[in-house]
Amino acid sequence: MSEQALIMALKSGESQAYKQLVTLNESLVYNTCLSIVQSEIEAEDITQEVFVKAFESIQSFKGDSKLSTWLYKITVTKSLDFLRSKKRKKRSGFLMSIFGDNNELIINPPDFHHPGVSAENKQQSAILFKAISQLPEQQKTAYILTRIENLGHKEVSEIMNTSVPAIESLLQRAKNNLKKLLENYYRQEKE
Amino acid sequence: MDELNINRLIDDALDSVSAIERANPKPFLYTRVMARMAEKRSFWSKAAMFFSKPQIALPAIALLVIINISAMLWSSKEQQSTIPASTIESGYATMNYSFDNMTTEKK
Repeated sequence: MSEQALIMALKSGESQAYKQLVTLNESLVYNTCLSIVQSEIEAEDITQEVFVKAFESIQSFKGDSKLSTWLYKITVTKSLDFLRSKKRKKRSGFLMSIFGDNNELIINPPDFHHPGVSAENKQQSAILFKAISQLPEQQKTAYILTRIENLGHKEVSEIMNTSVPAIESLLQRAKNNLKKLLENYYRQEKE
Repeated sequence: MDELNINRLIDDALDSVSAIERANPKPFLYTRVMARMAEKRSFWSKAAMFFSKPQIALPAIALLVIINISAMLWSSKEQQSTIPASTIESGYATMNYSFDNMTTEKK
């Protein structure tokens, strides 16, 4: 089924089209969520939310971008919304970094190990993901979409509703900030 | 030497995701998405969603305000058309506690 035909079928509410949309794009949505929220459980939950949102708002999809670009937009928005609400909860007294869900003492949140990273890169990638989580939202999104999702600057600019030079600038700042964060981390490790 | 080592560690960390593989969500994602949609489409969720829409909520609030104001105006009109309560009360007061009544009883 071509993308245009799939969009038409989705708009007319065909369940087979819904199934195809999920099957074709589950990896795209899940992996983006996973890189942004850095938790397999939360990524699963947000992935479901993304598809529900996509089904609910398919009528408003004008077709002026690729279906995958539109899904990326929803995914990034939902994932960042989740991180914002998590931050708000932390601020309003939920000491989530100190107490886990069952009130067990966990002092620091556990390192995130991406299931797609090879064993030899596991430790370095955990350190990198920790640094990525400290980047500002825009830099984090641009970095994840280009470096982990391997998207081109043009597509990232469409997803983030900005220009290609703006994406390049965001990436440059993200790299500089990551280098600083990693440098601080390794210097503290040595002390 | 240390500086070189730190730079190497930074480069290694930055390159650690260059060959990252795709992770897979748990199986039967479509079924779980459909279950979540059905849950969202239940009566109460639908009702809550309907009433939380600004185009419904705002006119509903405006209607409530109008009903309240008209009820207040209606009741004040009714009060004006009947004998004011204050007049009745002061009338009773004169009857019960007037000096004349007290002196009459003494006589």
